[in-house]
Amino acid sequence: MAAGRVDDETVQAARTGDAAAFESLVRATADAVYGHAYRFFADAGTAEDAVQEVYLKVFRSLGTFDGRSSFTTWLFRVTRNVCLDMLRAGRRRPVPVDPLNAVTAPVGDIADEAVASVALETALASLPPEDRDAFNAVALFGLSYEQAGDALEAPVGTVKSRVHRARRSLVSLLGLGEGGA
Amino acid sequence: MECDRALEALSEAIDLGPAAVPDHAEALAHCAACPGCARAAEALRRLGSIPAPEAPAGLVERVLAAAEQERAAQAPQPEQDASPAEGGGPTLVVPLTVPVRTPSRFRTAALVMAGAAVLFGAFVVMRAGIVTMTGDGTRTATELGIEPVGANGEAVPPPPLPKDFKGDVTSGPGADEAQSARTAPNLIAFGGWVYRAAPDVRAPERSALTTLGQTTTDLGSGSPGTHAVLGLQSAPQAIYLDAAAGKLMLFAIVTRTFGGERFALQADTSIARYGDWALLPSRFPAPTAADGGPTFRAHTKPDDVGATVYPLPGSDPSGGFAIPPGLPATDPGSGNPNWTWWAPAP
Repeated sequence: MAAGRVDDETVQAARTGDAAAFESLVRATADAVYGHAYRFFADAGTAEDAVQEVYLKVFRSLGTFDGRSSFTTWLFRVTRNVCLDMLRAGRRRPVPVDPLNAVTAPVGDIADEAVASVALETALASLPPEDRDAFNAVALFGLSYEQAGDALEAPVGTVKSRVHRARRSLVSLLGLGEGGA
Repeated sequence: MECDRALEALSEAIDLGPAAVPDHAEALAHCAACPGCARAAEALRRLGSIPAPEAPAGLVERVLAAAEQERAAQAPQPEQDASPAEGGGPTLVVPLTVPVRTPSRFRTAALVMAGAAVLFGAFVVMRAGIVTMTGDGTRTATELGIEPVGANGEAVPPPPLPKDFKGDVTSGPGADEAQSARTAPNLIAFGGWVYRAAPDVRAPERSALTTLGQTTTDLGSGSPGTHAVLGLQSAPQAIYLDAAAGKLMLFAIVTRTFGGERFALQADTSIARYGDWALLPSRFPAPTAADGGPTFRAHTKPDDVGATVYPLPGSDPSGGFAIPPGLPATDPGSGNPNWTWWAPAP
């Protein structure tokens, strides 16, 4: 699920210290931030720590957010940086996932939502980081390819390719079906 | 259309919507004729239906609680009017014992106090030579005819100046004490640290907080009682006090900075009444000399607001330092007639 819509008025209000507006921002985007952190660390507890850190950073820096990019683009960048910083600080390492172990939900079982979810997250954790980041930016944060390119400092075409490659890898890893020639 | 482009177009349609992909219709037509791509298209659809992770229950509340604590920690110190009286006469100090609740209420209280101070000032001038101010040169809000406001908005009597305040200090770091001592802002002590009542905020869900212990305070009522303290173990810079009727009151740790590092005011005894000041922790013998000796020794470099810091002899201020009384109005410890100890903030 992509991050909920965040309008400029809410962002502006939050910038001026409106606690209710800040809460709206958090509620609209917490799933996306958590989702990215969870896929990064493959650990719920560490992901929760990351979410707290992300929003404290947002709280402290919102006044300097200049609006040149959208709030969700900025939030994605903050989230990604926090996860990388936590990794660099040695607070947590991403759990290495063997792509072969990711194939846990064959096509017939995909109706089971919970199983499929776990399988998807496992498969996502096994993707190359650049593909996973591009996929998360678009699928979780709802960024356009241009916005994702801005956040990831990559050309739009590259983002598009990474997202598509991530999807094809996931389809393959999850045994959802092979396509194409 | 090539299979690769067809699947790419379908992937783009998921992100942008079919209308934004010019060759989407062509891709669908390709899939209708290509069983492999048809299976892939169905797989992409199924992939999109798998729910993404959701933030666990309570996480948002914990985030908001942490943000409120941050907000409290950033809140400015309550203003204290330390303007000296004209003509070199005794200093008229209006102790600010009104807790800052909401901006509008604060403004109202401030206006009332300012008005009362002006009226009282005029009264003092009119009666010059008849009314003599006492040695400490201070007046409480009640003496000024101002009713301070308690935790729940009720009028409360301001506490007296600390019993150990000596109004005859005439030299050394405490030389200005007689001009600056006044009732404290609304302070409590917990876990060895001193906290100040913070502006009113919307309290977080109790489920997001942990009970950290309890402390004793009168919350301005004049009758000290025991209250539970809640907060986050990971963020001791602010705590919530379980006040009357289940209301949570936010308190922020009192800090000052030295060399860019934060140091927090310590206390090893409770501060049972609003208006009482923190005392020097009992592990330090009270200085007997104005220069802090023999317990402390002045450091060459002042703190970030220009106050002289007094670490233990032979020690570096990075481990903590004492601050003498007689501080300017801009100092976070302004008005405290006691020596205080500041340790690296948690």
